[in-house]
Amino acid sequence: MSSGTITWAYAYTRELDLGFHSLATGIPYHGHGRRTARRMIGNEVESAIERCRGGDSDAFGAVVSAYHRMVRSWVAIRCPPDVDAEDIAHKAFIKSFEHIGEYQPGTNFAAWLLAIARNLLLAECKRVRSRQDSNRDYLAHALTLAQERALADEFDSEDEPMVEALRDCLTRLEPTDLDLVRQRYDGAHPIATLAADLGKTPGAVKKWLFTVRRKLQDCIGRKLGAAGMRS
Amino acid sequence: MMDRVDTLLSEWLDGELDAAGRQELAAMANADPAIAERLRRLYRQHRGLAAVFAQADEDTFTRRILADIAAPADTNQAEVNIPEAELIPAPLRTSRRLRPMPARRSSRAFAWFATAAALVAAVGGYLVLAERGGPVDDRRIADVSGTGAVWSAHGQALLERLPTKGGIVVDGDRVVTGTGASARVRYLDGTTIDLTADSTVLLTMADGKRVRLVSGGLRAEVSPQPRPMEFTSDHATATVLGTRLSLSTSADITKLSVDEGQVRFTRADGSSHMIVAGGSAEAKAPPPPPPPAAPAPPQVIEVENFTSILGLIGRATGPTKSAFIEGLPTTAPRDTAIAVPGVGTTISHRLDLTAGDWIAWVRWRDDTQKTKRVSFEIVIDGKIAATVRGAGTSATWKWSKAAFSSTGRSEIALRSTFAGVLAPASRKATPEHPYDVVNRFDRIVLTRDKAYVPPP
Repeated sequence: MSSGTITWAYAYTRELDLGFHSLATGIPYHGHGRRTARRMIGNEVESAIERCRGGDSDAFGAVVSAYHRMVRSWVAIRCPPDVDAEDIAHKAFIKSFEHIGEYQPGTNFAAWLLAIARNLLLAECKRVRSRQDSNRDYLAHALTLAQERALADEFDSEDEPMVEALRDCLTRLEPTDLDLVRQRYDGAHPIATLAADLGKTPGAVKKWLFTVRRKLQDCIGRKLGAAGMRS
Repeated sequence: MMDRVDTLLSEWLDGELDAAGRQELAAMANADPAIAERLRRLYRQHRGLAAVFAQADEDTFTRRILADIAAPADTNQAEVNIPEAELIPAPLRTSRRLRPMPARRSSRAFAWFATAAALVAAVGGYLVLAERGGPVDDRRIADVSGTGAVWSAHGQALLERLPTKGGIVVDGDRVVTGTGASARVRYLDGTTIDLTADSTVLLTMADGKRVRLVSGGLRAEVSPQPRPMEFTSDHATATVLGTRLSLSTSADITKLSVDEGQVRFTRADGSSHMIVAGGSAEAKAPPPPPPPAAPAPPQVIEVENFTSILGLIGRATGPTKSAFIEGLPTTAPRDTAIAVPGVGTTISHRLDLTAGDWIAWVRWRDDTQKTKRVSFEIVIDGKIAATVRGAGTSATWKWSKAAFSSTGRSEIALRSTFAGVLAPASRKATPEHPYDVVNRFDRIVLTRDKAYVPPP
């Protein structure tokens, strides 16, 4: 098995985990000891996959642990409106376990897993699109189709640099800005509720959110642009 | 500084944009690819933020998966409606590491968005600028070309009437191609219809484009439509919003082939339909209608040897009377109709009939002696449908009829009646005529056929 693949997956997972932690503490993560950890977790995951192939379903927990952020993030930003990204990611893991016998050790497990997620997401896009009323909500319909076509055309990366960049950009926000985004997305509060909690008018909150989103957009654009990518 | 686009985008992301606002945003995205790109980027960022903040923690996520693995019956896997062979990829040997995504890919995906948004926005009341800067009417044809004879509904050559862009299809415009000829109709929205040789189509406009394939075949590339476009033939209707398809028709079959997108294919009689996606389907002419059903044979009810007897006690008393009606009281008021035990004055049948108009034919004879005052009634559902006067001594079999309307179950009753006083001669009893008044019924025929004539 290619340890490079697995160690990369670990690095991704590990970085996001710590990045998430840094959001809570406000201390940026600098990635100390990453290489050592990669090798360690890579061997563990490889071993876990082997045990799963041998019928040990409990060992799949280690596989999920290693890849869940990669899959969930990958699916999340490719999800069209009205599709539950978490559900797709969940099913992708279930399917990969059910067919773990078809996975060949030594090939790229992460790519195989993401291909399953992609196929599931494509099927869900088609299903959802067939139910959408394009005349009633064209934006949702058009985005669903755009995401679907992008999925069909652009499956050549097994990670999600945009989310990675987003996490990094979040750490650079002012604490008040970060708190606003957290409240908006963590609790999924309507603007009116958010405004009441913050003691502001809805219009002021909308403007504030817009400003923060633009900051994030600019930050992501700079990061990906520097890497020769587009957000 | 937030401009109008920023406001719409933000409100949409926060779920606060109403339908009119969404239409407006769609129109803006159509008009300006930069806005479409902003929309796409903001949407991805929005989903990314949701992923960062709203995802379940790792333990919960993992625990749910392990629980589903342990109890697969509790999973939602039944919702995955694609073959496993398409779901599970072959082993991927290469490590597909991140690489820059060429910008053209996403813009290509969004190019469709821009086109379709324009069309849908038009439905929502936002006029989309066409090539000449005017509002687009999706009935407008860009051009008609080819080698076929093209005729308008009024006989004017369509090619002459539509020399420039913007002509409007009139109901009944017709495009005809002869042997070896072909023609192309191109609408302003990019929809094209290519006719094969020996084909005829009628172009009409109802709620969207309508193309009636009278004969031959066509191939169509339909741009995303604000209203479903329909292709009809004698056998079926193909309904599309945007797709590539081929359609051909002959006397007994219409064949559909879908290269891209989905088409709703409906039989001409509406009896069935199917969604065709990336495949083909055909609708055959319905089987010839069955020959007109022969009139149902009349419903015949045999009432054999039924005898309705009206016993009579008249003015005369004594042995003559008692001789012909044994056991009857002699003190009964005169001219009293009575029912003799074992027989009766009324016979009735309850029948299940098809709801509608019916005719009841009744065969009867009257053996009453020398009186014309004897009659009987055909009573249906409690109402007298006909009264038949007796012919006294005629004593021959006759048919009488009564029309009635049944609601499904009817009661047909025959009731003997008598009015007046019998002549003394009628009281003579003989072995053949033991009673004064004898109405005999032996058949009832029920029919819906007004031309029905009962047998002699």
